[in-house]
Amino acid sequence: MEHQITLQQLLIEKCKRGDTQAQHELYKQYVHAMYNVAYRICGNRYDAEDVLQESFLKAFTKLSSFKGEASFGSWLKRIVVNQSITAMRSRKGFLSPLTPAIESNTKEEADTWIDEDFPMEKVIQAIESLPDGARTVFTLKAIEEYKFSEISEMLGLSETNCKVQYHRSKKLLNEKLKVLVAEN
Amino acid sequence: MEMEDYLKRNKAYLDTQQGDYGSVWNQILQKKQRAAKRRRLYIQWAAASVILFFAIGMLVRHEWVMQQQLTSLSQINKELARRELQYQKQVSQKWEQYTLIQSPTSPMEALLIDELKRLDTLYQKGLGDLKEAGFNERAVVILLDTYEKRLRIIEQLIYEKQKQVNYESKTKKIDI
Repeated sequence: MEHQITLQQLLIEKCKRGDTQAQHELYKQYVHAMYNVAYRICGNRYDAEDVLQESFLKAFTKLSSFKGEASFGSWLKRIVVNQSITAMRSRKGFLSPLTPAIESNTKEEADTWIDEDFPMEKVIQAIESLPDGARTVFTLKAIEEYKFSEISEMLGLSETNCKVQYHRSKKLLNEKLKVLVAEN
Repeated sequence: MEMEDYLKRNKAYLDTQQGDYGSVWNQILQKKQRAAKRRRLYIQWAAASVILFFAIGMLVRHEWVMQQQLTSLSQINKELARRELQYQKQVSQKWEQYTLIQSPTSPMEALLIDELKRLDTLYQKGLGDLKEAGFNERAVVILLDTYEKRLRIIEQLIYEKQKQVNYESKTKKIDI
């Protein structure tokens, strides 16, 4: 049923016409998931709430450019991720690009093995404690499941640089998990 | 297991954070209202600027036309053109009526014709003033008034001519 119009499409059409009630409905549907995406990248509730606000405003303004090629959720998530990265860029030392020498010296694989019964809260705690840049790259790749080519485009870094940053963040996470296990 | 697989498996437990969604929505609404107000103001300013621009343009064009090419009232607007044409028709009809009456010119007629010439001069001077100072309603009324006066003078001329004709025919009868 290719031409069947879903309730969500109707809602989006109403939002495009500037219907505030429809926009609130759409906001309620996505706000929780989007807040968590922003929180995972920004690492605190204040920045995450600011990002949320700006992202929804941008989405409502640019909704006419949404053609439905991807799902609305992934279109909105991309806006939230980009907005979160913009917010993170204002922080000192966020993702300083690696020099070619460092890139070539950082080829080791960081295999992060984890027991399947390991408590999820501890993993989330460890991810949150990562430095801004490492947390961003790790979140984008391992949680949001973006490709390296997409991450490189979002962050304005080379694909190799992104891969290196990702492996470093995994290594760092491994160390943090070991500490948490030891604490337990 | 690999970290990526572990996270995929526990994806449902990732969204644990809870924000103040109500307050965020209120701020979104406030920003939307501010943006709408700004947009309205911008549109009003743009519309006012366009109207002002056209008004100034029309005024400049009007003044320019007035100063450069004014040779009759009909060039100011259609209504004046209509009234002037009506007056001109009336004047030419009366003048024709006057010229058809055959009789020698009396001293009174000569005075009235001089008066008509003075009205022509007054009309030309009035147009000259409009050329220099731009459109002025009072000046236009004075110029139209010259037509009224011309009509009255020509009527006077016809009356004088008629009087002359009557006098001549009376004299002829007495001679016979």
